[in-house]
Amino acid sequence: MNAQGAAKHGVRLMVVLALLCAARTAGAQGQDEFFDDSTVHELRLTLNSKDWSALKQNFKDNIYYPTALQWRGVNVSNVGIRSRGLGSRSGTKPGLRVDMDRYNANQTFVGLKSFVLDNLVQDPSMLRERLAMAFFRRLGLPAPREAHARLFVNGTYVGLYAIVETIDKGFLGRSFGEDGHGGTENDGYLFEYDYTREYRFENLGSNYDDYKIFSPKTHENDASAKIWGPIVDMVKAINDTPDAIFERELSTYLDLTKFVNHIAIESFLAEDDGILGYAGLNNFYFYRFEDSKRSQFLAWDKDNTFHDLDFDIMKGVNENVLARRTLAQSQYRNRYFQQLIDAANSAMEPDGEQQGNSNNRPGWLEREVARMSAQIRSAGLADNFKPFGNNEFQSSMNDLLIFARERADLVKTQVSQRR
Amino acid sequence: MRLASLCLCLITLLPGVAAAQDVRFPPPSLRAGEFRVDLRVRFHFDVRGLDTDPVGKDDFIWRRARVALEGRIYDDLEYEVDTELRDTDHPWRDVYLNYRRFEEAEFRAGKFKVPFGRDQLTSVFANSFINRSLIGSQLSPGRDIGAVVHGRLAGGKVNYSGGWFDSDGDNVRFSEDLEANEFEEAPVDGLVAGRIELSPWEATRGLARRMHFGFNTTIGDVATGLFGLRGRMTEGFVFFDPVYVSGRRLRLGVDGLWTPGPFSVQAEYNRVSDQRNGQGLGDVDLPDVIAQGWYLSGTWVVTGERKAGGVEPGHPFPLHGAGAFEVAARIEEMRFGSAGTGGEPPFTNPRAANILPNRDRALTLGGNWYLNRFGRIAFNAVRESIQDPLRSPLPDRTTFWSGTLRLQFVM
Repeated sequence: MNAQGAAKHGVRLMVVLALLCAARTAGAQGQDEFFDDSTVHELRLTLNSKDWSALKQNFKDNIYYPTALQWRGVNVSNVGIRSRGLGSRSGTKPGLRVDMDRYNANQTFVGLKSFVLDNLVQDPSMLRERLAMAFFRRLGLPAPREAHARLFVNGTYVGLYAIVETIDKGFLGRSFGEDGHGGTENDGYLFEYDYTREYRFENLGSNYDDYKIFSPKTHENDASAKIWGPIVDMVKAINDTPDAIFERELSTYLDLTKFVNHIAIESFLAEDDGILGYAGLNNFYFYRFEDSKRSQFLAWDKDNTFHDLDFDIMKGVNENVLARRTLAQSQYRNRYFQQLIDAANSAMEPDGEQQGNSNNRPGWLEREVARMSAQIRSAGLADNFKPFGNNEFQSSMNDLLIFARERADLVKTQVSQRR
Repeated sequence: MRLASLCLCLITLLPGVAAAQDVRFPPPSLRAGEFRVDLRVRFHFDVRGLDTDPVGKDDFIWRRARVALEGRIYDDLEYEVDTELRDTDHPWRDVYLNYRRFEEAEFRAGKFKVPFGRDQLTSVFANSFINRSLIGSQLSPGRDIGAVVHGRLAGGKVNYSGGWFDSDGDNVRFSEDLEANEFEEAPVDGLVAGRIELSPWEATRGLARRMHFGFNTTIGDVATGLFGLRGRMTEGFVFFDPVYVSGRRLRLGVDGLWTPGPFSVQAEYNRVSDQRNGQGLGDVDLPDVIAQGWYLSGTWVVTGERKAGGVEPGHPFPLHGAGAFEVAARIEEMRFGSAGTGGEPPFTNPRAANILPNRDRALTLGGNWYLNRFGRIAFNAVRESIQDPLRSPLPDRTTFWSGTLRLQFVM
């Protein structure tokens, strides 16, 4: 090839690369717009009328139905939707999982392969899930992006939903960036915790079947030893490692600082059904990084946050083997309390542009509650499928405001008493 | 295995017993005045090997155990009662009366085969292959309850059959259990069927005398729902799932058969179209779903016996020789898709306007050892290939082999 040919070839290559980058950027930009939480979106689903009836009738089943999706002029046909949820399943206002690639493996929507439409039936304020995830992200931990949407099915308004980013390879890549080998960190082992019974990291033995509560969402066809072996080893280490070498041994499996930060944030948010939940572990994903035994907890399903203003910051710690043994280490106990203080300060952080005494200015959390409440109020009031009345809807939003104003000081008080 | 051994014994010993006892074999027959009844007993025992494990399993199958009574009442009235002993849920096969006063217009009522499809209309015990063709077993209706007028015209050059049936035949009723043969409700409510078979050179003496052509159709209204035809491979794997349908089901088929001397050549093409009125997203009409296929088969009785009317060994085993040997080959294809695209790319979902097509193509090579009038041992090797690797029995594999050895006993 001569110099002229090489130059032409190089130009062609650059054009192709530019187009690929543009496509990727377009997808990323589309996602940013889709999860833009400055507005209540409008989503339209078109199904066969019999399928919508069948989905509501069989809401306990995971049967997929073909659907067309429309958002801001973007039309995607032949996506698959199904009923979803554990305690939130409803035949009146179904929670939905939307899979773009159900019927065509290459189909995406603004670069997404799937997303969740949370029906918000377990939260009269219809805000807790979105608020909690925003708080996790604000404090530097990966959490799904969320926004609210009016959902229309076959032209009929069926309620106010939360659009929730699915925790998948796209989420992992966006959250963790590069993997150190020039690629994206998204090809490790991703697990969704499937709640079936009370479990708090007790040693279940070495039978992999007992650890299938960690349900693999990637590498599902790998050998059981590869999937669950490191989890078995981790749980054994949690239970059997002497205190003196606990940190060193567990660091093989977990970033204990991030774990402590995670449970501290959940405690600040008064999460009673999370990692330190009242009925055992619940509502999280677990990601084991590529070529590593190390894993990280990822926040999921935060409908049960913001419940109790006086929520004990140590609730559930002693019962959970991992939390108990980690916080028995003084450096992690201190880290735990410090994260609670950081969470409190972040929640109370005033808007720098506002005038007046900073002690009187609403903090970030209160401002977010007020902003989101105003944003969703009309759509929520018009939602005739929510399982609570409008009075309860509005009073729950007021309760959130109170929580946002008062929780930080109460947490700081508890911290000072426990240190 | 004990039953198979019993069959093998019957096949080899019955001819000798019949000759020694001067017993009228087969079939056992009873006559009482104007009433006559013949007993027929037929068994199939298969040994099957599949390379689609774990989807398909190698196994020993007691495939068929049929007992039939057939005969006449007053010369003009024929009857048949045929039952499958292995099927405790739906044992009845052919159960009908046939009024045969006039050869040009006989009347049959009861449960029997819908007049469509040469391969389906051929008894499985007379078929040169262990398994019917894909289109014969899945696109042709099979048996149902109904009534037909049928007869022979023009000195036997034209055979016709036409009538009405309750539904679309037991070949297209299915459930999750591939061994079952029933929907909870039948997908077609009322079926009109008709077949014409032409034997233009029936009265001649040349090779063309054994040439026959068939043309058939069925029309019915298919119920609204997930009742589109399902595509299955020979060993049962579903390579095309049902889609939502509503409206008319139209079935068309042509076929031909030529049996000169020890040879036979047979071919058939079938096409089934289902309307999909109101089955799209937003209840819009969708292009029809189409199932179609063909086969071409050839056989050669290498020991020289005539093929037409069934192979009867000139030197039956074990008393007079080694029986008769036949080799057989068949190529075939069955495909599913939609009649149009609806302006969309293809999808697999059951309400897609443009259904992502899939196709099964098979080559069957086999042989038959006709031991005597009672028994046959058959072997078939089948090579199948699926078009869409994502809808094939094993990931990323589209070609599969299976082999079956069959022991047949007929009396």
